[in-house]
Amino acid sequence: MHMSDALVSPVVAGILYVCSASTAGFSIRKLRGGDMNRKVPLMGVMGAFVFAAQMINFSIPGTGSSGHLCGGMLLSALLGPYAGFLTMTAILLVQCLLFADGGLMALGCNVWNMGFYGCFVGGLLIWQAFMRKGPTRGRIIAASVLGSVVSLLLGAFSVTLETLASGVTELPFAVFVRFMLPIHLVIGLVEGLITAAVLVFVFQARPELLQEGSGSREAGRQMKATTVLGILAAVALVTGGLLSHLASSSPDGLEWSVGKVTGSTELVRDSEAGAWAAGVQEQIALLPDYAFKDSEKGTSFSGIAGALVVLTICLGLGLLLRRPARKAEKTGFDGAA
Amino acid sequence: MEAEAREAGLVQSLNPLSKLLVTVFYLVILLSFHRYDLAGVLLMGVYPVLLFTLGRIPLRPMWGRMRLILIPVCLIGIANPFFDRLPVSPGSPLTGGMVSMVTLLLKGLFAVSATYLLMVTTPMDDLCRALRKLRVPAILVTVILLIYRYLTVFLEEVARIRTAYAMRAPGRKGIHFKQWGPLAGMLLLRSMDRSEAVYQSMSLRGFRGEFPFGTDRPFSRRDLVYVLLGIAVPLIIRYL
Repeated sequence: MHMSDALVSPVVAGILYVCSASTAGFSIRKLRGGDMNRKVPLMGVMGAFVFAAQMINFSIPGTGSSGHLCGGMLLSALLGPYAGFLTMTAILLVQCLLFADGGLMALGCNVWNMGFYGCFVGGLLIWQAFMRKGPTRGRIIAASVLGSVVSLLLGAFSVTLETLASGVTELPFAVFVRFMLPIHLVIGLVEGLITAAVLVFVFQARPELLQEGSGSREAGRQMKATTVLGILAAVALVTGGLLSHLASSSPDGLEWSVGKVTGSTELVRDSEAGAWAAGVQEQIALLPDYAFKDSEKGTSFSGIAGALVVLTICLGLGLLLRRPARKAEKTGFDGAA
Repeated sequence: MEAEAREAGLVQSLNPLSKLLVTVFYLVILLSFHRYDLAGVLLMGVYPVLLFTLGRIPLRPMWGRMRLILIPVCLIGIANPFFDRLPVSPGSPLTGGMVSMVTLLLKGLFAVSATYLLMVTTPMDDLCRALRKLRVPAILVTVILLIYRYLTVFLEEVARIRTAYAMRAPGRKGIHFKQWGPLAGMLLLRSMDRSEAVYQSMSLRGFRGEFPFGTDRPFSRRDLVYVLLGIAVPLIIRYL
């Protein structure tokens, strides 16, 4: 579900950066009261564990494919939602820097889509509500599966909105949502089951480890599981109604293609969200944007050819001017403590 | 990548904060290009091309990273030619969707290149120091450094687990669902125990919530030139 830099516009990236940074600030404030120094090594080591655990392929019976852990849910269950969110933020930053999984500009979006929903909706809202009366095998499985499914669906829905608002795709909203949500429903179920299997094992081996994430000290203030389920059902109904309305008002890809061939359906050039975001972006730009079809600059083939010539010259200059290779003495990396 | 970043070189010797600021600014300008502005996006390739050649930075390791990012970008970009079939000029076989797809792919390529160039010329310690200078909270930077340091340890451990499992269950693809919990759970419990040992050893070394960083690279005149060029060139490409 990692978004790459190419899929977000600076406006969308900036808004999501502000949202994610505010949530990180709030999480740090919540952690300051406790023994934060003791928690930091646990957060670091657990972050590395979640990272490494992604390399384990858990085979899904009867499908021939495999799944992975849901990091946000697992970290929230073991560290609590605030430490879990900060750890997810660090994981996502390391992933984008070292493995190009995500991007520096899209980091705010990715932290929101995976960290916020995983830790605050899956962890704080769902997990803690189910653990209100203490963990049991059944509650752990139910909370893990429900938390993973809900947080993944919300994350996938956010990816759709962010991509469309960035105006980088011509996909109609309804088609995009229909493409994203069913896939992530299945992924959420699988990830939930894998996460549940790990947490049930931890519960049987070392039940005290689940107390931190269960928020037992604040249990009295948590919502009941039934209340959470009620809220989720209401949200699902409202969202479903909204989506079905949008789906009926916009043609999907197949309808559009048929319409184009037969000439009976008008071309849908862009989404409303994309047009709105493009408008905002042009308003805040120092100079008006120049588009392919609206301006001579950047539109003509000579413009593209000119850009290619400049690139070639730069490549030649770089090769000519670069210093002779000089191997410096490697200092090495001291690795783990 | 860490070894590459610690080598002496033109770009490697720059202050990490200046490299981080130039990279972020480059990305902001790159992503601000309109989806049909193929020529402008192409010109933004000047930055990675110059840095790769001047810095003698190996290209091959970057291609492996590309696949992660190019697959989702392709999946989304491939729809554009189908949904946007208006020709760019009357009679032209080239449609707006084709142009926006190529622009999207180039943006993805250049954005990954810029981040890769930052990482291959800047050790993680220096980058974290730059993050601290930008007021990123100490707890977050410390967790990033810990993840980075322990990542290789855990990856080796996972590789050993996978090998051991493969030898006990030959021919099986992935971990059987009955072993999901015990296998990852045992690794998890060992990780948590290890974190306690890490905390004890860090406390003994005087850890008070933040890793101390060594001496910083000074912000030299070369850094000033680099930052000014890094801001001016993208602005000129974007707006002139």
